[in-house]
Amino acid sequence: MEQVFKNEKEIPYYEDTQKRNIGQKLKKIKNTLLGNMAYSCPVKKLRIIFHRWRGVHIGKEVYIGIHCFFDNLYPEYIYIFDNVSINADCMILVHFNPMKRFSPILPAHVSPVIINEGAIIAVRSTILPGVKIGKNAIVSAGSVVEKDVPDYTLVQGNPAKKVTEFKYLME
Amino acid sequence: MKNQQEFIQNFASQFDETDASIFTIETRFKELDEWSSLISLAELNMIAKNYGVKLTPEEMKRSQTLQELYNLILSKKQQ
Repeated sequence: MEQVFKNEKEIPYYEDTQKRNIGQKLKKIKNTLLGNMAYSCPVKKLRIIFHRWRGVHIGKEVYIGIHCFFDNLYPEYIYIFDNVSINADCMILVHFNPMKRFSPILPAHVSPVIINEGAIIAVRSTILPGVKIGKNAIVSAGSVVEKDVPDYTLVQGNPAKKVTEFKYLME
Repeated sequence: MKNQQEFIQNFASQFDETDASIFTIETRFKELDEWSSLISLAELNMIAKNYGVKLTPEEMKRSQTLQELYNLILSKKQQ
């Protein structure tokens, strides 16, 4: 799996996205259709195949549960490394493009989400743009992660806060 | 005895909302409102970090009071 991550960049505000060319529109339709197929597919291997077709970077031995929603517009900004487990109903977002009137306070941007080896994302968690999840980290059920999670750390809540480290238990 | 007090302090420090002063060696920690599987994991990590003993979640479940847990750590340390 490639190690070079895409950099954070600015993207058009919502009003400007309505003037997409045909290529961009087709890409969005493809991503949405494949995303919906992966969303409701009962076969776990097919879910991973559909997400890879969309452009999500997925390593080996990864589990992606049913009803997971990965960003529709920029799935290529999602990096999932080996042995990661993303359980049902999770949501990973990588972009944010508000209306232009919010531009002074909310810049439109896309930033990569990186989920490192062995991490577990429990059911109904949400990962927001630009977040890095460390190796063997655990995101507890229903958490909303807005900051980076260090290695061997368990986070929980909205916004997700550190509950404990467990490095010493796994060494 | 000092070590026992230290253990109680370390154990209490994993709790956010529970007052540290209520912890004694006879405290039945599983009956505390804040006790959860996540706190249990934090305690297991604290024990591994400070005492070099890796307890299993089952061993943690079997212990009722801090005294039982402390004795378990000592017996494991001697092995």
